[in-house]
Amino acid sequence: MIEAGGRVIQILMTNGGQRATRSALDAWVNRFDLRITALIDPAGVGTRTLNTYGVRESAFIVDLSTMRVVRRINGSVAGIGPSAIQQIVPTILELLRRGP
Amino acid sequence: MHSPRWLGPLALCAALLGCGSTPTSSTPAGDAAAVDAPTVDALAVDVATADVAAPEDVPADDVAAAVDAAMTAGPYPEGPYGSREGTVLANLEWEGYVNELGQERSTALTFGPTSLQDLRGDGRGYALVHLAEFL
Repeated sequence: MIEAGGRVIQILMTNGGQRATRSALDAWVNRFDLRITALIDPAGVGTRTLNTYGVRESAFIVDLSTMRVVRRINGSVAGIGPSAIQQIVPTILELLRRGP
Repeated sequence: MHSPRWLGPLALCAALLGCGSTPTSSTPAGDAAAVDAPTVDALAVDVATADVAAPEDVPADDVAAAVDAAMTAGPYPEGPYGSREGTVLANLEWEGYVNELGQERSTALTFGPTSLQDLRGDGRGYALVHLAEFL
């Protein structure tokens, strides 16, 4: 997807129900050998991303020219069935193939 | 029954990037090609200074402004904001690792502040935003 011009942004919203810390983010990235943009809320804002964007496991496709949500998929909180990522990747690849 | 929570990031990693793969090592043929390639200094000898001079009728300020315009997305779109389809996603600020190339583990990069506006780049294309929790 990156090769196709897409940007991948993952936000680790919480760790054990609290705002995720840098050490939690590091453990998360290292555990899965993540090679994507991986972020947490800054100190002092609480779980702002969770409160603003919604619960896991959700994935959005955002048009970077308008910042509008083109597609949103909510996966199962219990991890049942295909993840939001698995469901949404074909759509963003098709959008990137079409171009602007 | 709860499925393992790591399936999300692992699926993301595998689906998007092929994480864990090792870079292709250089080959003997590649090394040989490098030896045969002319050096930069050698090429520079053939380039006349007049050939690379900027046209005189283009003010330098205009050139700089054009370059800036092409590299930024402009101001962040106004609201109302939301996270449903068709709404403008709010511009939040975060901290962490910005890894746009996907060539190395993100913790190898500099930890620092960023925002959705920063991550827009030149405003072209699409972003996949994934929300995760470490339980």
